[in-house]
Amino acid sequence: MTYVRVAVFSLLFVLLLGSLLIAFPQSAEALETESVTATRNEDGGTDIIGGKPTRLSWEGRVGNNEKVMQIVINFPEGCELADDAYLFLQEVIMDDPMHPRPDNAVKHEYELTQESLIINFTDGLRPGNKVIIQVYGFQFPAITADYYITGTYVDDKGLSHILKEYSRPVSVIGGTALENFLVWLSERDWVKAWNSNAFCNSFLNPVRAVASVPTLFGGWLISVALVALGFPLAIPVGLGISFLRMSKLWILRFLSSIYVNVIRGTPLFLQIYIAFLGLPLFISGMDNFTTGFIVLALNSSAYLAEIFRAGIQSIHKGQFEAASSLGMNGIKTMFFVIIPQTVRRVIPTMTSEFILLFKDTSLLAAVGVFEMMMFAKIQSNISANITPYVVAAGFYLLVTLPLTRVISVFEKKLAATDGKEAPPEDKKKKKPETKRVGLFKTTVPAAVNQDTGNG
Amino acid sequence: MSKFKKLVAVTAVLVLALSMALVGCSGGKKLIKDGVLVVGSDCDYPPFIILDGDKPVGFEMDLMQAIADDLGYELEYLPPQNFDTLLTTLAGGAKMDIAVSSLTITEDRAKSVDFCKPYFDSNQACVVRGDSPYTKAKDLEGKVVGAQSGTTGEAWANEHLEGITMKPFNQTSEGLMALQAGEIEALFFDAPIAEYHLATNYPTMKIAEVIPTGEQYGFAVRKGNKDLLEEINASLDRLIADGTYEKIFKKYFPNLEPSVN
Amino acid sequence: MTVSKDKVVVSIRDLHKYFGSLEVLKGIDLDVMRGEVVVILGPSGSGKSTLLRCVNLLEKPTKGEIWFEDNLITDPKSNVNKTREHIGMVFQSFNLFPHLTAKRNIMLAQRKVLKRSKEEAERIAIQQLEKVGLSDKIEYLPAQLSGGQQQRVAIARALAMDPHVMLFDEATSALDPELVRGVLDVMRELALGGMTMMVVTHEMGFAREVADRVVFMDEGVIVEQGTPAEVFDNPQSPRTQDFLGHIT
Repeated sequence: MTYVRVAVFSLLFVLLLGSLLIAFPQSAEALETESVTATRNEDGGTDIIGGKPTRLSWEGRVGNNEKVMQIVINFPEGCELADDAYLFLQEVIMDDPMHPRPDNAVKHEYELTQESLIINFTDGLRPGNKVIIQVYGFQFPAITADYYITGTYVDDKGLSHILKEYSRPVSVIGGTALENFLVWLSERDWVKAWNSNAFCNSFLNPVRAVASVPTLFGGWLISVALVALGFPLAIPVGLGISFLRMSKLWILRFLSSIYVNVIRGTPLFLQIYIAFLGLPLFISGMDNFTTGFIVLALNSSAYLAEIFRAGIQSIHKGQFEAASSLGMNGIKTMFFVIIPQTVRRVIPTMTSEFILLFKDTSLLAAVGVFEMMMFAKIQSNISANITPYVVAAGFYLLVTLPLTRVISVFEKKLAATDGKEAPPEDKKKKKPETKRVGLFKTTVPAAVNQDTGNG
Repeated sequence: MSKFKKLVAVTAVLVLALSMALVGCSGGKKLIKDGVLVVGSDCDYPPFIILDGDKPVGFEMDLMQAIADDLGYELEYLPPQNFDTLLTTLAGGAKMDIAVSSLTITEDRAKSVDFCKPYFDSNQACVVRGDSPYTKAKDLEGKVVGAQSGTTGEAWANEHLEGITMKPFNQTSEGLMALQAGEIEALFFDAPIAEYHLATNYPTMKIAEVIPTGEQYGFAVRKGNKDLLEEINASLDRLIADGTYEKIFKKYFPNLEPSVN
Repeated sequence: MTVSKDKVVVSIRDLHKYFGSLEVLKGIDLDVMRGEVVVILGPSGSGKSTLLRCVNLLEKPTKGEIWFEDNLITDPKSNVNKTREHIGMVFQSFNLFPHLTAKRNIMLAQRKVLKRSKEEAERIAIQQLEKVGLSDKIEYLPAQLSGGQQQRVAIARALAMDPHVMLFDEATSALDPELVRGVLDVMRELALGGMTMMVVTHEMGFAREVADRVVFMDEGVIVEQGTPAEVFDNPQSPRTQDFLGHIT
């Protein structure tokens, strides 16, 4: 029994040792390709576009027992170089792996063509060091494909070795309609003239403007979605809280007033930070978008609660009395008499609140929600140009301007019907006056005129 | 139609006049205010530059002060602003003379600003929670990671790691809080700043890997501001030669070799 | 028309009402018989509206008892809403629901309180509107009606609930003189039809003609009551004499 066990354990041990050896090659004996990458160069996107300058990076690690005297990197067929293409080379000294240090003064000569890059090192790259080779102005063919970069190197013994292919190709897409249009646009004379002015260029560069539209539109949809989910959620919550604010029980009034005052008394920006940094500690798996619209909804609910409360309290006492005198209880009175009247009155203020909330979605950019502001920021940073923000402003206005119009239409309508609702005979009696009522003269208080409850 | 044309014409004239005015006031001048070097920073990079109360302190601050003393300038610090807007503001030309914010010299940034000579060697760090199973940057492929918006850390992760979801933050400290909260699996930022944070405020985190990127920090000035660029470079050379630079360096990084000598 | 007057519908005993420290009603005792029309007169601030509003508990009495039919409605345990179903009230300011048409104003409480079917509520609404002479205004919104028409809709709304008693709180005070008549006509019809009514009004002509009993109030107490002839033609109290003399 024990023999069997020992045998099994020995076998396992051997297997384990073997797998460890395979997983961790002891040390690099030869120049090892660590990565081959290219910088994203799609306008507003995350792809590498062919036929357009990018930066090709090759990184490798010199073997422990060799020096590298020459590196040859072969480019795939069809690659091109921009007129201002050049090489950036850096050797990184790896003596202390926690504190690698660059050496910019590596003595070398190089020859850069469409087919290859040949670098000869005067003193050789030292053992164990890292080398970073970057070709600026490098263009992949404008054909969608995966490209592998191959090469060779020569060590200090004069032996030539094949560079190991990097496991992952560079995925290139062959240009998009938008990219082609942008190239065409940037070559127009009027665009060049416009952009030659520093102010026009940074605020409304036509190429940057067009380039940012597709991503900003995506962001705009997210912003609209945030508020389209957040606001409807805020309405019932806000209504509930407005009821609590008017409750007969002091504890409910107290708690709801804390809620309303804390939320209205602190900046939304701060609430967003607390929610985004705090909530994940308690609730896991909530994505940024969900957290985002929930924070917006909670914030808005406090404002809506006050809007609703003001709306309900502006309904004349006579309406409550009339409903009560017909035997309707509090809940029925609220739902069938008060709220329907309140809704009409609060629509303009609610719309304003909607506009505010829509604009406030931009604050979520600070905590990494990918809405329009975030995309505008990214776009602006890529190009060190303000144009994407100006385009984003246009997208915000696309929502806010028509809604502002809606508000004024509603307000006009409300003013008009209010005027109409005061019966003609009431209009005459604006101040207290002594007049004949029926058979007798008596004083009619002005208040009765407003008592129609239609206000 | 003629009304519309008139409107367009008037607008065009206004825009041109305004742009001339804006460009005119910033063109070619060495300093925005005579004798004063206006410095912009994010002030979020201990121990390089960080706010102590409302005063920026740190290695870069000391170095900048030494340069200002050497050149006989006053220093004026702008209120801290987000890193990703720093170079845009500098390039705008109306507010800032020099950006001091642990700025890595890159070819891309050099298209919009000019860099003085480097004064610090840096790398990227992949920072994870202490209990994290990830031991190198590549392990984070396909995961949700973060970086400060507009930094070299963000660019490195986007270029080298496949399938990541990148969450950009305004400040590194926000990223660290998000990492602690489990919102992201790793944060990519400058290694020396990571070392400082982990040694002081975030002992529960660890550096999974230092990524040798060979990057170096440099002060940035407006593109084409050759006068200031040369003055600063000459001053840096003097400070290196007379040992002031090394003194400041050792004050903050006693265990490191000075980056330039 | 035979009107049974033997049964008490509303019975008020020693009713006091304070608004803060101000005593508005200072011990009122009053019985209203089935089918009786009681008109309450008095100068402004005499407490007559408050008295009326106490009867359907829109004002909570401070002290005293109010019986409605066999129920002590001032008892905290009594169901206020149930009581109010049977007590119709017409306000000085009409208080129609402005978002509902005349018909729907009348249907709402029938549907939600009495749980009548939609068809029945609608039929009764139209019937009541016809009674008050507004069959051509069924689908009008309150805003589209004159004050007099609104008040008639309000009366129809109260009547649709089949009330056992109707309270009129200065129902014509907010109306221009030329519109008062239409409303008074409706009230007169109602009285002739045998409805038990408590009416607070300044319309002396109406009181004299329609009232079974006139109650004169001043400073929170009932000063004097009797038939219209007794009160109007031969007032006993100096205060009544003064009031009537002042306004005639």
